[in-house]
Amino acid sequence: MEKKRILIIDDEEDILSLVEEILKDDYLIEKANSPSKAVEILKKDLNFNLILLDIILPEKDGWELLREFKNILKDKEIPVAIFSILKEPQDMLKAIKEGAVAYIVKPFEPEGLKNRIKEIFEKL
Amino acid sequence: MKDEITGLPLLVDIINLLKDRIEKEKEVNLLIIQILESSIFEEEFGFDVFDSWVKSLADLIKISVTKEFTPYENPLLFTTDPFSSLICLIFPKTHDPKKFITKLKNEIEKLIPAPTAITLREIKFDPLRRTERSIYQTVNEVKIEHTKTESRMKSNIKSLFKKIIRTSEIKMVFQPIFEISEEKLTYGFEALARGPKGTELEMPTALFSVADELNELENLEKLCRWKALLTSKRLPDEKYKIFLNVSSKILQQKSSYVEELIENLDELQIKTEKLVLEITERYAISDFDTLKKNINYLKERNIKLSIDDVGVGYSSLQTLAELNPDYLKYDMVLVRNIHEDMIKQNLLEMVLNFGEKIKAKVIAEGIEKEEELITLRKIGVRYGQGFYLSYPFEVEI
Repeated sequence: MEKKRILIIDDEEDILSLVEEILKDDYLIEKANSPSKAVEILKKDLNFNLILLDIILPEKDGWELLREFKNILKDKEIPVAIFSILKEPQDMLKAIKEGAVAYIVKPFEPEGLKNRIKEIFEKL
Repeated sequence: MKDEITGLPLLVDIINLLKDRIEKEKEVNLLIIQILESSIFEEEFGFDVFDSWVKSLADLIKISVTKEFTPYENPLLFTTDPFSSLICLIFPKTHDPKKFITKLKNEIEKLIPAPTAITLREIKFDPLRRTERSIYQTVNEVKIEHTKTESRMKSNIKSLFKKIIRTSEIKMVFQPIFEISEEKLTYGFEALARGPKGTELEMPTALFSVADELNELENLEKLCRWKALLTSKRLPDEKYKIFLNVSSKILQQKSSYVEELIENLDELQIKTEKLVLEITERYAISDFDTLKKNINYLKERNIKLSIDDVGVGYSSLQTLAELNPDYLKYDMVLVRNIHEDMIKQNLLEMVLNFGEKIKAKVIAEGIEKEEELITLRKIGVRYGQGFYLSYPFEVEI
């Protein structure tokens, strides 16, 4: 079976490399370290199965970026999972309102992250 | 661009299409259908339930339109703004709308619990006026008219409220709370207020928001409290907990509420341990110290504290922990379709962990489906309530 593609958006290079390291055996990973980079990638290539989006980002926050994606993606639906250190109910509620499919709280255990991503794909 | 909820085009995007059409047909009918008082209902039922009403309304109208009109008549549906509760239909002036409107009214009433307004207008082509302006103006006039209808409804509601207080026309119903982990064992009952049947004030959210507006909250709270405690004496067994709602606003002001509560229990010979006072976390807390003082006064007298609407309110978990609650009620909006929503599951897991840490029992509210119950059990929730388990029931005084 062809590997699924995931776009990870996070401004911390360490996190990007760590997530890539954890997931690269099972998925094809693309990384973006800023909102503008993410938009640039998506304008050229919409062929992703999942977007993993951090909320606290430079330039604009993840929520704003999520709304911008809707314009770029138009009718193509790429599920977005939120990936954040914010863990108040209000933040998770916002994720539901904005149409995200999952909420992964940082920091995470490598095995835990693997399982969560697997679970997300099973339920999609 | 299309409106996300209804899937209908937005007025601004099809304005040229409408303009051409009016200029060609010379006059058209415009039918505007709107769910009124949307903010109250969105707050009462949660945004996703409200969105589903708007979507059902749009779907119903789409189907009715296909049945009623021929493709040649080219009926056109759109909405004015994204996320609005208003749907517009343009169709030829030659089509008599009377029967269609009556039928639509009936079907909407069956489908949606909120009041809706349906208004018919015509838009005529006038060579001396900009057609776009006529369209916008007509739509805006109808919007204003609907706002007026809403405020008329509100003033009727206010006089109804005054009558309710004058005549003590409040009924208390009880909804069982169950231990859901193994068998379905009754754990307690939540007392819920009901205004006169069939009126706009039958459900508690409307009742209490009108009371708040009229500065009558404390009177209503005391009336409900007395009726709840009195009727609770008729419940099957002494051992069950009684959950009594009170607005946290009352507990944040200097009032006689807490002392009188203890007096009431004493008069009715109800043990304080039986009572769980339930306050909502939906509104921001402004006077934390007074709230805490009142809660401590009750806790010293063995009354337990439950926090309602956990997950959808303003307070951080830290603030909630400081109130030292014995129960956390996980909001029904977050229980709705939890089996299909991973974030709702994540949030519940977090609330469960938090409950364990502060030694509070978590009760899931608004369970309406078997799948929801199964998921809640799987995640480890031990207590629950909702229509799927039992409807609230009336107890005679």
